[in-house]
Amino acid sequence: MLTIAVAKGYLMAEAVARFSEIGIQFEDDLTVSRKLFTIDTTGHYRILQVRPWDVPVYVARGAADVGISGFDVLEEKNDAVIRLLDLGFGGCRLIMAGEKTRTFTGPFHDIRVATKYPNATSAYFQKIGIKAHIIKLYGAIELAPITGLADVIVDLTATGKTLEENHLTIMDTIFHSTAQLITNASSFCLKDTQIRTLTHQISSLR
Amino acid sequence: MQTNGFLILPRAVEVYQAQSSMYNVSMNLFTPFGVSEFLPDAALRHNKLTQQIAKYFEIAGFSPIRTPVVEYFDALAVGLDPHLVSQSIRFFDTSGHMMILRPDHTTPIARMVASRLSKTPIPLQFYYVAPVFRNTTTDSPMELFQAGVEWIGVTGPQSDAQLIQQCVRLLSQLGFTDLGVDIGHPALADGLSTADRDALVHHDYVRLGRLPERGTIEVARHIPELVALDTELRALNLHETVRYNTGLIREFEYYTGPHFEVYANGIRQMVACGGRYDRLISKFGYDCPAVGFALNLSLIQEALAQC
Repeated sequence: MLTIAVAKGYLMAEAVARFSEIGIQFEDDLTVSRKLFTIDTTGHYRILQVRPWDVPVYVARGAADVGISGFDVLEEKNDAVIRLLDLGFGGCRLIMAGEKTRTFTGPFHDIRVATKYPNATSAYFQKIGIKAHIIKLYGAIELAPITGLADVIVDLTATGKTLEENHLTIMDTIFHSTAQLITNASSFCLKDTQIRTLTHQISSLR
Repeated sequence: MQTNGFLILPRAVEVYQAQSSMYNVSMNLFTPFGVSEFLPDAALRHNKLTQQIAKYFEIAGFSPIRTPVVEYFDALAVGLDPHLVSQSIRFFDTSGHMMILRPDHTTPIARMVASRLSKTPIPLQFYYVAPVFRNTTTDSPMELFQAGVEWIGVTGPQSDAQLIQQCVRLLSQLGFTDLGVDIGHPALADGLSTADRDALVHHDYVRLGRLPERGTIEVARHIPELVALDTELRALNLHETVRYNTGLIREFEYYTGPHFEVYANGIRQMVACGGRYDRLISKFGYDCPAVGFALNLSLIQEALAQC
């Protein structure tokens, strides 16, 4: 049996739709049920519903053979996973944003940056040569500039609506992110045929 | 991205502080992250396992060798892989010399062979069962137990095939029969663009744009050394066990010929790896070919405990 870890929420719905298109039907709909896992009608696949940040952990440690995770999470956490395929859905981007009313000519030294992505943020400021102080937050990042906790934020956005509603404006795009299909070295060696077939089936959908 | 050391250390301190305050401990009774502390049951299992492995190697004709736990960094650095240097634990002694805790066995054995055994007739056959020390990561402890062999002074596909046979036999004797053996070769990287090579090293097949081919010798027909190895493996009836993996490319090429990685069902990481390294001993001043493999004993012991 192939165990698949998928991030709860939007990615789960999209993933289940793709699996259905290639003939894999799961017994329970995890997007409405409170169950955290379900098996497909053939008994060959088991899908786990986990937190987005936990997908690469399940895969890297072999609790799942494959996983569907956002590129943003993979870049930030750097777990030992093999990246098989860009799935194209779950599109969003990691951006730097600041208050609309505050006019920046650009990022400045000793800038205070609030983010859920300290590693990607640190790599970005390193690349542009700016000395930054990173403040790690766990949510509602948009509040940081408004309350004076930080000068700018680095956060994920799909539509830009939350930024807009909180009077923030995008200053730069750090990277674009979509969902990726991942596996671990042990599964990719021992369940080679199954994983390759699944990858080819999903990639031929587009 | 950052090195693991950078990411892990602040966390280790954080966890230590959290633990101390949580349990109101005033004395520091905690051990560093990633060191082994065996209580009697585990220690007994560990001893039995290491004795079983030592006995296997001795019957196969290998002699024990022990390398120092601590060495001068400069002496070992001559032959040490850059990725091992970055993972190694280093410090200064009282006279200001930089010291290193051995991060692998192959490099110090190569140093010992070049400095002390260059007049001894080859082949030399050594085995070891002892820990190496590396910076703790989420995937690997600081004190990592290894068991392995170095077979020094041998050339040709027959020795490469026999090495793989020894590794597979030992693992099956330990109870691991559902194995996957992937074989690679440095020549697989020939002609690759820097970008493709980098994508393969980082296992990023999205960036590569395809899945690397893996299968029978047909995928590696263009590498004569692998074709010769396959003939030998066929003679040992191992050709069904192995797969040639065109994606098995390493960042720093320490191997000069065929090399392999072994995976076992139910174990999340590589359980063993090895191959041909003909230029390592010459870095220490003695030109001599060699092959060897190492088992990740920490992982094996963890898997056996769960059975």
